[in-house]
Amino acid sequence: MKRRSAIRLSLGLAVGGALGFGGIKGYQLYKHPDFRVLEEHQGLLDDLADTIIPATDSPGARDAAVGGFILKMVRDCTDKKSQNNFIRGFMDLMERTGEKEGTSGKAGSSFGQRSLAERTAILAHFEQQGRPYSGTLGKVQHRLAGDSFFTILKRYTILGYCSSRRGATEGLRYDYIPGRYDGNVPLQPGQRSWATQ
Amino acid sequence: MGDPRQDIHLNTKATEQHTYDAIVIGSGISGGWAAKELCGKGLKTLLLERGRNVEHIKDYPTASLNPWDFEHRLHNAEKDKEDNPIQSLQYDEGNKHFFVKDKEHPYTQASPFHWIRGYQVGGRSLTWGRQCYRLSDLDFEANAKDGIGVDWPIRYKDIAPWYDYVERFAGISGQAEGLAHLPDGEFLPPMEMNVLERHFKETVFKKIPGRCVTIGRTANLSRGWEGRGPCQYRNLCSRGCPFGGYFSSNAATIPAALATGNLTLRPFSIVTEILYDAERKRATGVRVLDTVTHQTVEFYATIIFLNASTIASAMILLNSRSAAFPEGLGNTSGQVGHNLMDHHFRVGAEADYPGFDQEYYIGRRPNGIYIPRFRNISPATARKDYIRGFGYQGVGFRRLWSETGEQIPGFGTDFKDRLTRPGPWAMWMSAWGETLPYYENRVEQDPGKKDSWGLPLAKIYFQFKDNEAAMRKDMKESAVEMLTIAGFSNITPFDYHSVGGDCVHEMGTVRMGKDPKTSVLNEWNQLHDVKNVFVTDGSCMTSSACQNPSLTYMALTARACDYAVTALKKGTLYG
Repeated sequence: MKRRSAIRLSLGLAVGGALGFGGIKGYQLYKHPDFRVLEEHQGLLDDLADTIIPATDSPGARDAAVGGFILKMVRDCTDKKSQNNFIRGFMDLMERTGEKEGTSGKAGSSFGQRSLAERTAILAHFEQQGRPYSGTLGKVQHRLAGDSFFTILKRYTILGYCSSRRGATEGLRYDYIPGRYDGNVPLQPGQRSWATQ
Repeated sequence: MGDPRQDIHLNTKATEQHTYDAIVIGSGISGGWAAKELCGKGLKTLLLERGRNVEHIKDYPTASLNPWDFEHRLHNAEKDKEDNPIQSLQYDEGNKHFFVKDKEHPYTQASPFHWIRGYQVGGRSLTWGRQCYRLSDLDFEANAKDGIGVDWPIRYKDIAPWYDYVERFAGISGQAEGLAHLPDGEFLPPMEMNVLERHFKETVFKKIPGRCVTIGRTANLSRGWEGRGPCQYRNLCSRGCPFGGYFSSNAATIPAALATGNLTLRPFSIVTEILYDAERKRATGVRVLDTVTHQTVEFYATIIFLNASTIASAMILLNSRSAAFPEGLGNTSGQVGHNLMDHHFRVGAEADYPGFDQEYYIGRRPNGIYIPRFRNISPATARKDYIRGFGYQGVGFRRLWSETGEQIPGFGTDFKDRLTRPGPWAMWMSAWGETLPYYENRVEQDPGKKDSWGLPLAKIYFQFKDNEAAMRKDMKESAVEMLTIAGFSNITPFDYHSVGGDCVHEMGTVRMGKDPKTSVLNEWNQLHDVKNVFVTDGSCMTSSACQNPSLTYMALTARACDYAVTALKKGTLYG
């Protein structure tokens, strides 16, 4: 009995700490999210996604129109706490990079115009700040506080890229109608993963 | 928008035109079989379905879509999960049109129970898991041996030829293993195991003598069969298969029934009750609520097959009240609605395999491996902590971006390179366990609560108990044991505590038995009380065994149809 309440207490403390990532107050998690800032800065979303999955010998996240997809997923497929975390993190980032009004146009975002080293440093900061706890603690954190800005950004960048036409067919291998199953095929040098399971 | 039933010709003018030789209620996996068998034997048959029509291929709108064709790339929107909290647990953007809307089809959960439904022609045969395993005498004798519930009125020899019969038509791919407790069938060529699964099979067999790992037995066609298939290894089955690569009512039994010229298919037809003639002691037909015209219509027949699915079939019997059957048709035993079962599952383990880095596979096999039951099958395998047993389904695969992506640290060029390479080999294995029949697990009419058609809501009581809980411990530990001896790493056991209904293997509410006082159906799936009504869906199951049950419904249906028509012709139907 004692041991159990001790565990609960330590969980409580840790989660209290977790809620503190980014200095979040409880009410900010539950408010009705305002997506306008994301809608007005889809160019920045593209630039962020493209820093996570850049074009190499295959297309990058911008080529796969991942920015717009992230907006859609944050709006439609994300719980309210995580939505608020995402918007708050996004605005924090905008402040750091000195974004101007609207980045959907050709000029692109201030973030996007920075060097790779600068962009990497900025995102690394958010990755560090938003790193979730592992194991049970991570699950409790997710339930109480939602996911962090960077966790959501990375999740939807991966999904948006790997399930897009260009990502699946050029970044990965996509077999529309395999027609057979062969359970033992040698991997070819440089071979990419299948896009779908 | 015209009449949604425009291509179905119906004359609703006269009683005689409402009279058929047979009526089948429900067009899912067992109703489809009943229609095919009865039509094949020359009976003019009316197949009633409460939902819309779904025509093979034509009505599979998502079957050929790519991931990027879906707005949320197959993920369910939050609003959608809110609106459909139960069905959305099972569907995605690719197949949600084959599941009901929770708001339109309410029921009462006296205790948590997820009732998954597909109200359309073909029912859940469109979205089923397709795994097909025979029951054996280990299962048919179990209740009698353990003193649980009632004894099955049949044994394996009674159903074996009917397993042969339905397998020959449906097309089941699998590997014969010669196990007495999981009998072999009439198999199409087995699907192939991949390199990791073969390693697992061989190691487990070597280190645990007699432990069998086999390829899943599935109603996917490993070669062309009866004008259908073969499977194209797309692994998109639940959207409906434009190649007819798996068995469904829509692809197989309904077209066969239609081809006889004896079938009338009537969608949008909710059966509210079965009509009973107390003088002649037989059912005379059914009352139908037409959901297009909102009119009530009656249809008449000599034989009635009830195949509305486990919970719905019990509800129809309970709603068929008359002076002769004040508690519902065929319910003098009081057992209708009781003994509800579902397999308990979502417990097992997953792990990575360090090796085979240079091996991969081609194609998306819609099937995995199967480990037949190995507990309580002999004195040597008897457990002290629980009765009955479980089987595992599993799969070996290389992890994909969807699993590895968020675990790969960082971002940028190196991240992208790792993300887009085949991940480590892994295996997932999860157990499907037998659930005992408990009288108190039941469905009943919720007093005073009606749906939008004025029909009583189902109220469901369901709990897994001590035997299932004890079994789950072993289900988890045995998975870890096998993965350990086969050299896996990062072995992660799991138990997600499934809720009743999650497995979508509801059974038992109209059970078969020898004694009319304690069971509803006899050995031919006939109501003890009303000999021209047959119930051959999952509700007839006396025990649940641990095998995926649909194949058994098919075999029992074909067997009951043969009996019904033979008895009808001989004039012995009523004894």
